[in-house]
Amino acid sequence: MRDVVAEFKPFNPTRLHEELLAALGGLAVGVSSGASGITLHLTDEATDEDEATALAVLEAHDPLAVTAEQAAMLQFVAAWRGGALIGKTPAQIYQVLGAQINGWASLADAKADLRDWLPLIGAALWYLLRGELDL
Amino acid sequence: MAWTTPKTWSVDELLSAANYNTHIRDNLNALKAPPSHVIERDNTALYSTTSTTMVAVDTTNLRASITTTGGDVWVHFTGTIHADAATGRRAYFDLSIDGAAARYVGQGYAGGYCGGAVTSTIAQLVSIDWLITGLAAGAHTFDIMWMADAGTLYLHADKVDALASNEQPAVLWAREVS
Repeated sequence: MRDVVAEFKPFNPTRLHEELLAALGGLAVGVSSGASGITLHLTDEATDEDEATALAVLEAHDPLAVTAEQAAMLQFVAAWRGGALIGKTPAQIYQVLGAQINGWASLADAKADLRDWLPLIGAALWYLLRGELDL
Repeated sequence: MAWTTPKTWSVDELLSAANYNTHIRDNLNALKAPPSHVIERDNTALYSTTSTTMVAVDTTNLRASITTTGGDVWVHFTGTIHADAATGRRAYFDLSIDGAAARYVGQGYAGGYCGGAVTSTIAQLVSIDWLITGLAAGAHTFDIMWMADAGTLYLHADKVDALASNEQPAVLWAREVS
């Protein structure tokens, strides 16, 4: 393992890992952080040039940039937190959904609501089943 | 007080103060206070890694160092971890002795000494014990190693987390036990 230690700065580890993989392929093993700063882990096959490339990737890294996976999750969280169900108890959700469904005057009304609800409910169930989010 | 291999006493041998002090008093003192190193690490921030091969968490501040008289050493680690929230992650842990490569990966266990799912942004307890047998007498170091299958793992070791319930030290200790 060839470790390159750099001064600590705010960073997104998962995104930085992806950027290192894009720049160095299999020579990049990962990144760590601790008291000594940020450590870029490269394989023993990495050269001085690869080390310089890794440091350049870190230098160019935007800590606010997210991975596609993180972006999808943030999009879901924003939709969930902006939705009608946020902060409600299961009993309140039961009432809200029941009242809304009973008020449907047309198939179009039903479709409009279901387009909002089903993706959120499906994603929320999946995140909660996998224990990944404390909604 | 260092351990001395107890002498074999002979019939009618004079019980001298020097021998008593060395083989009885000093050895009892050595048993009472075996070589130990306890670390309660406050890193003032989370540790993190995305490494997909075993790397040490912190070879400066989370490294237990003891000088043994030869035999078995008990190493213990307690930490609180979480993963980034993107997908289900797995965390793996191992031990490095004297700066060598991860001990159990070296024995052919690709996942190290132990591992498990870290499927939540909610912190989870990790508590691991190793009994290392037959270590030669001398100075030894013990480093906690970790890796992720994907994404980012975090180890709590601070008193300043946004959530008070996430404020824990990373604890590592090593003690000679034989």
